[in-house]
Amino acid sequence: MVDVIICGVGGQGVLLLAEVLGTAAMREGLDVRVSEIHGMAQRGGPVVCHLRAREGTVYAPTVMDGTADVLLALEPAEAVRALRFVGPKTLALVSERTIRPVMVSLGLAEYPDMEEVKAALTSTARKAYFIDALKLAEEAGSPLAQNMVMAGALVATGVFPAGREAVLEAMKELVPTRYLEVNLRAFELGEKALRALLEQGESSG
Amino acid sequence: MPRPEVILRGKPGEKYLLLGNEAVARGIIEAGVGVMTTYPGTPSSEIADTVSAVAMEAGIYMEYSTNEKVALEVAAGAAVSEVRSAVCMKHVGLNVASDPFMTLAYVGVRAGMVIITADDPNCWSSQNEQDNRYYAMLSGLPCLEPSTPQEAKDMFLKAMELSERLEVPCILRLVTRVSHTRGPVLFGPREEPPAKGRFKRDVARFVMVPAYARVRHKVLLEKMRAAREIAESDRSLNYVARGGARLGIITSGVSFNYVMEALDILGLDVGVLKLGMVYPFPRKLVAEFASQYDDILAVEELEPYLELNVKAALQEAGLKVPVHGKMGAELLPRYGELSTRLVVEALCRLTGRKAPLDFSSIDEKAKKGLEMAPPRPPILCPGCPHRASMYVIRRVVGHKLVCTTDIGCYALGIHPPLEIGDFLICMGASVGGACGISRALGERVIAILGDSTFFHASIPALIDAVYNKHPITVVVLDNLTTAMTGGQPHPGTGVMGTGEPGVRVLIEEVARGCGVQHVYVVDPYNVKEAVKAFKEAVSVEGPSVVVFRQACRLMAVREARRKGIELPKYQVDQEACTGCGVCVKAFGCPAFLVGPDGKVSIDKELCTGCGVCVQVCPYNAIRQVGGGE
Repeated sequence: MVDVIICGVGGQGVLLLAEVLGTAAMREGLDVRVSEIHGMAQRGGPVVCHLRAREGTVYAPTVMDGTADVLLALEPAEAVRALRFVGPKTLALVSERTIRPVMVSLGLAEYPDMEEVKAALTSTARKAYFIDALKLAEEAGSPLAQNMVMAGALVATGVFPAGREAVLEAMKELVPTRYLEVNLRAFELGEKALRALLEQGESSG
Repeated sequence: MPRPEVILRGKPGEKYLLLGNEAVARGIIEAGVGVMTTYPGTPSSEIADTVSAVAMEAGIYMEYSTNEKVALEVAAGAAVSEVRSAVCMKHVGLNVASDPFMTLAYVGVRAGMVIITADDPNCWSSQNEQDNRYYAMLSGLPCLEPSTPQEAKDMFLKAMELSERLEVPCILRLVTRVSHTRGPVLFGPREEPPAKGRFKRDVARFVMVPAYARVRHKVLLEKMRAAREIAESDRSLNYVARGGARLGIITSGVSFNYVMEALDILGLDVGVLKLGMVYPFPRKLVAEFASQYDDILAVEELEPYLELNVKAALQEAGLKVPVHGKMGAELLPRYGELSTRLVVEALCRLTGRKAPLDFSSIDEKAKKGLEMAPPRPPILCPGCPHRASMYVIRRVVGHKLVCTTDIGCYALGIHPPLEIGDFLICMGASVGGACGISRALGERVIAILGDSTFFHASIPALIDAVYNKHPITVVVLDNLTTAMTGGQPHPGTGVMGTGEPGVRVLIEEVARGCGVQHVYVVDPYNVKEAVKAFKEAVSVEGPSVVVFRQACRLMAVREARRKGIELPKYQVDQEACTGCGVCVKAFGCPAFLVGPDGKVSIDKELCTGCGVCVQVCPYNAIRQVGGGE
């Protein structure tokens, strides 16, 4: 069983990422719930998605505070905003590239220091990995494929109960055909990047 | 295959990971519904949008009605004419539809009709978090409440069956965490919608003049008794989910999930009665369940609806079992959503157990995280025509006049730097509210609302402004779609819910028809012209209407991409930029980036090429750098 919090900013493809992962888990025979919040998602606000999968029945649609197995964050400030779900068993995978809110451009708020962000996550989670997912997505062919870079990273950790093939199948089912190739490439780059981090034993902590 | 097509063409026995709303859409298709209506509203929108996408192929007549009242009336018209119908709306939509809703209960239906209300605990995208289970009690109509996407589909079909059996519409009450939760949904067989209905005249039943209404009220009370029998005896709806000792929990809908999870976590031996049919309330079943326990806990979101009814049931049965919940000791909150944690904490308080986790240290860390993360309120998109319109309003009237606002994307204008919007309560109230405020202040008030909202509920108030000479300027931000809920058509678009062309209704013609003498139509991307028209509109006598017309930028960008048209891009000439910050402080497009020297540049990924910033910059420092248009 696994409880995943997927978060980011509206427009980053958080919902598609959750649907792909959820579908993969369902096709592996698990019960699944993916809880989304719509409406504001296209308007650049924070988006948090809860993904729960297990053998037997998943009851609650949301992850209990402090008990996420994985925090999959497409943006660093959004990762700390979701700190409520992070606890001693959480593996945090965070895309490093920041998206600055308008409040910051207007000088009405400050964007946190990256070192502080990393410290907050590494001190709360079991382990935290930071990935330049935007760079990898661009390398794959589109900055919008960051979400699938993170899917690849998640699968590479081995924590997710659906295997690589199941996730790739779900991508083929759900990603529009014209973006599929870029997305598959992004997935592989994410996988590779995380494997490299695991091998080096490198984490920010 | 795109999701709506999967939902239509998927075969019995197949399983897909669907949203609760998509599951209901599949239920509508399986039930052979012939007429489906709605007014869009989060969290209900995907139900009708899914049906709309496949309506022609499925043989379903689907319409986006002008408002929820009309939607309910159209669906009722079909159901009294022996065609199965469904109408869906968000919780507050039922307030708009409440007038026909209450009396439709008296006349009832001849084919099944399901009224779907999607409530929004925690106000994720709503102006309140009312609990529509009370509408079931108020009207006397049966109400089913699913816990999961699979149950959402199953209970839609059940509601249709009950509606036909009892000859009254049936309510299906969803909440955000059912509507917007994905879960595996097993498909069943499809019934074909009928080609045509028929209307059999029966004046005593369908014409609610007082003499007949008195009779029909008694008929409704009889039906409520029959419905209660179903609630007492149908074990597919109301059943004991697990037995236990000493403590019994009574719960329904999404709350059931948190209860089961919490009991697993705590390893407690507690009985659970799950209610899928929450109205009429199964008083005997509840009393029988409660008689086996020392204490009862009602677990539900928002209002203590179950708790009150459980107390009434126990009183009636002469049982003295203490009932806990929101009243008295307030074990659970009466606002917001529930969660596993809230139920765990309530159970710990009630049983004297220790919490399984140190929640206070989690809260402390969460608080630090929240302090660290900069606020990211949802904002108007880059290139949004509403930003340009609001910039024009600010340029002309500054902060001098009160601006009422309304339900739609433009409510996001309250954030800096535009800060537009002083009063917002419900659909269309911008206009009526402005009338009263202008009377009280003795000065002009600006009322801001969207195109779909204009048609939905503002027209009687606009007529009031004309009739009673209220000095208001109504600003209609016409972006040619219902944007906030995902881009549904409305009367001003001239496109029907089935995708067929309809007849376009023009806002300016409606305004003139209502008697407004001063009506202006402007393009907000042309700042100079828009300023000129708006200046005039606020200086006339009596009411005026300004239509700011420009397509939703999300829609325009999508359209351009589809057609392979390259939109223009803009960049700031760093030599010419003085760093004055006017563009950021007065206009505030999210594509602006402010450098350490105060000079502004434009994020090329975010810029959608509206070109309004060129007209905002006092130093002519912004230039087009690519694309056509």
